[in-house]
Amino acid sequence: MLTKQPINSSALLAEFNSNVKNAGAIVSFSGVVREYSIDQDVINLYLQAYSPLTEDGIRTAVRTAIDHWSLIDVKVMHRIGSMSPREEIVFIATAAEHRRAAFQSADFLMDFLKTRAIFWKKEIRSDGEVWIEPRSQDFEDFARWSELKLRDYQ
Amino acid sequence: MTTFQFFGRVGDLTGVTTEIIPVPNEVVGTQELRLWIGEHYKNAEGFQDETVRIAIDGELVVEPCQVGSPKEIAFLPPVGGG
Repeated sequence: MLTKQPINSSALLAEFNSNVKNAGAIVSFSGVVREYSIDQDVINLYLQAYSPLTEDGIRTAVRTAIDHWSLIDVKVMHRIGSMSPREEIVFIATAAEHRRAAFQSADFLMDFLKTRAIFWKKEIRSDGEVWIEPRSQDFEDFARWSELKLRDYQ
Repeated sequence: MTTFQFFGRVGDLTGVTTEIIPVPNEVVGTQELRLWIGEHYKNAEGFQDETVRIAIDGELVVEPCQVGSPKEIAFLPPVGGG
């Protein structure tokens, strides 16, 4: 679920595909470290997690998604530590009988990770170091899922 | 001895992410804890920030509460997202 090693989304997706049974739809998402931010070059990105609370929160979100969309399987892998631009920071895959459930659950899980998951993220830019906080758009995106009653981590 | 962990921008206040130090006897509750740790790292204001949550032995606490004799205390600023 959390790794300090580089993420290979192609290999993770191949493994996920080979293990999942009777899926009519598989959606995957890869998040990548941007090469620049606010017109400044990003030299490095540093991510902290607080185990085991970070993993517990992600597991709760995954359970919520499985229950709500009747998913067949879910995979979440998130990088922590230092990483360089163009490296993958997160991989998500969801498998469902039909495409809408697979698309929506992957969307929900990413919105969770961007706003509620316990991570701290620092960009080391050409003009200095900055701790990043979620954008207002990220909170608006997550608010779309309020019907799921995510009271466990609100 | 208690392991203190400082995440995100709180780590910038302390200059370290982890330190193992004893909690003084006079630190009974979280209010005293914030005052004492602020003095310890010479940044009293930073540790009075209510958006910085405290976790004791892996559990987020509702303040004010007793500190006890924990193995670990963590200071958690608002999360930044993945």
